[in-house]
Amino acid sequence: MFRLLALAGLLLLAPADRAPAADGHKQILVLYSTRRDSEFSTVSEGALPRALDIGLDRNLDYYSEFIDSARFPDSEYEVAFGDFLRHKYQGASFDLVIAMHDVAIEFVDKHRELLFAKTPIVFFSNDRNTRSAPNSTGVVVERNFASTVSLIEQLQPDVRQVFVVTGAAPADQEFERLARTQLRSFDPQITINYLSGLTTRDLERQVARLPQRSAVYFLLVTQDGAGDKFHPLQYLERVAKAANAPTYSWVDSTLGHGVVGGSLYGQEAAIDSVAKLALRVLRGETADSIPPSALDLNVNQVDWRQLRNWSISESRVPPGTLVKFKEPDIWDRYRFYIVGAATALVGQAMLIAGLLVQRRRRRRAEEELRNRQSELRASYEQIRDLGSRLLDAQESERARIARELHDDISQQMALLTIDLTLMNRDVPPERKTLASEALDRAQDIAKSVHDLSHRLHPAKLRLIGLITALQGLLQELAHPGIKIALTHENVPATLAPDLTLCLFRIVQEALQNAIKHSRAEQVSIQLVGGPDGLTLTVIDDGVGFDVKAAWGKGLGLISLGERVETAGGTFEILSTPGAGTRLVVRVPLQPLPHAETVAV
Amino acid sequence: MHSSTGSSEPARVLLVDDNEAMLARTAAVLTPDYEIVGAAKDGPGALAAAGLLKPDVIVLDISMPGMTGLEVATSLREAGSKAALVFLTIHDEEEFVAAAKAAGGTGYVVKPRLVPDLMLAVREARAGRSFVSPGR
Repeated sequence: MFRLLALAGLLLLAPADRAPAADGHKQILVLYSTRRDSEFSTVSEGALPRALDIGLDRNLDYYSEFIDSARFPDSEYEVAFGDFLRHKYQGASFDLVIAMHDVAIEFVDKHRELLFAKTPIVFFSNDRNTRSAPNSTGVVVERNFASTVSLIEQLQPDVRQVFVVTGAAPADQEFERLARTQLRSFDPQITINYLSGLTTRDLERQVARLPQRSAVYFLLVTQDGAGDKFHPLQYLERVAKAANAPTYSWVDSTLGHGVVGGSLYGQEAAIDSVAKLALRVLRGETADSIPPSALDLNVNQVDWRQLRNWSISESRVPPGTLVKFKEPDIWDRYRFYIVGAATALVGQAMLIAGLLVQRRRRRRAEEELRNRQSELRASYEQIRDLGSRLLDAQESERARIARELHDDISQQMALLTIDLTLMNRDVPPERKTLASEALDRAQDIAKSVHDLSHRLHPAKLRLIGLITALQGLLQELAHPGIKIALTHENVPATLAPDLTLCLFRIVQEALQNAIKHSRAEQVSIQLVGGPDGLTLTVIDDGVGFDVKAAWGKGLGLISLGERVETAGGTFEILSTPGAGTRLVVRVPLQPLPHAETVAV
Repeated sequence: MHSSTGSSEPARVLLVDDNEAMLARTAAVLTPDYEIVGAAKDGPGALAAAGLLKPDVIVLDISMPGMTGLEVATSLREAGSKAALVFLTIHDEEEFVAAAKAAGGTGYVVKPRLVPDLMLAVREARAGRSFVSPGR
């Protein structure tokens, strides 16, 4: 109402004969045969103005009118509608009129002189026989109902009957007529039945009891047999819901309203063709110079949900078919997670495999290492054993020589000395000096031999025991610059000879080291017996030494240490350069195998 | 330590040494003044002879196979022997002298000084005095 008042205002102000918009805007009127909310109108009103506006660089002045002949078939209405347009667009000067479908084409044809005498016309028709009026051109897209039946055959090869549904309105009947023509000479195996102009109740009852191996083919119902008017898509939904067989269709707007699909005529594609043609005319081409073009815009399309609903295998869908409303399957929906999980799984598997391989390698390496270690240990044991035997051999050889020297040569020397002494009594005075010298020499030799014997093997160990022998050793080594102290407690009265010798040798070596190398001033030697064995400790305050560096330089202490360890004892040297040396030896006291013992 | 048979009688001496030549020399050195009642060549022999012969003095070597002279001395003391002990040995170290004294020895003579010292040592031992070879 407000808009009408505004238009009226404009009319009062405007000059009587308005020229085309001076500002370069193109005025376009689109006349639809259908109602404003028909599917075609809805699609077109969305797409057409947008396409034209872009094509005209935003210089579009767009109008649209809807004849709605299906609901208003009265011829008086047509006259009134013409008057309405004349009044409404009195001052307008359209650059182009677009007539959609036959009713609009006929209307323009009939009222052109009065309404838009000089305006070029672009029409859109479904009938190839549409007469092309002067100063007009158009797009013809013929309705092809047969190709949907071909698709039905492909999707449901066992179908024997197709039930075509149309309404009671003239437009509905026109569809039925067209279908009967197109489907007349179809596959003889398939019977085409027509459910035309039935009451909705009748129709619903019939489609609910279709025989097996049937399909429903919905064309158009704008009015049923009872005279009730319907929106065709809403009616389709009712039919598809009631039917006990899959429903098919011919136009893409029906997809999503219960149909399985069909060879569907694409309305957007048709409108796009109309827009392109309109733009050619608006840009200056004369309409008559462009012959009307006939297009086939049918495309096989199916609703994936309905395929599943009717258990139609997707494998039957012919190639090139548009499958719509396909629900993403698990793969589509969770692809990221599946790929991620799979990647993680593979990664983990590889990691585990890698770790297993590594573990195996490590085990092999460990085993090899163990073998090497045991070989090393064996060879170490051999060396130790060898060292021990070497020491034993040395010791026993020394002992043997010492014994020889002592028991034989020393005795002989003693006897010789005694004899020389006896002889000296009867020597004449002039020979006295010589005899006396011989005696002295014999005594010197006896002393040397005795000392040598003692150095080779301390025979006194056996004779006077470890402690006394050690005291003797201390006296032998007595030196003005060094103070050596020996303490002992709970040392058993008898000890095994080899243990005694070993301990004696250790003290001997330690003292020699302390005196020769450590420049010690004080040395303390401690021998303590206990229930577990005997502990010998030798501590000096000398310069000390690096134990590791010194290890192996002298056979003495090391061999003795190994000896102690072989006997089940422990041998420990603690020394740091500048901090003295501490030697601790622990030996177990084993029961003596026989009476061969040494007094302490 | 006095002999049980009195001072007028020559003292009775038992010799213990594993070397026969040494035994012979020793006997030769002592014979003019002392009665050599026997000679043993090892520890057990010495103990047996001492028990039988009851000598006044035992001249005892230290290093012998088996029992050492020091051990023999200890065993003699334990067996209640009253004989004076004079060690006659090759060893000249101080600790041997000490060990000999500890074992009950009265005299200590090193073998090279047999001729000048043994008579003296035995005599001193008979008198209950200690003697140790000088200049060892």
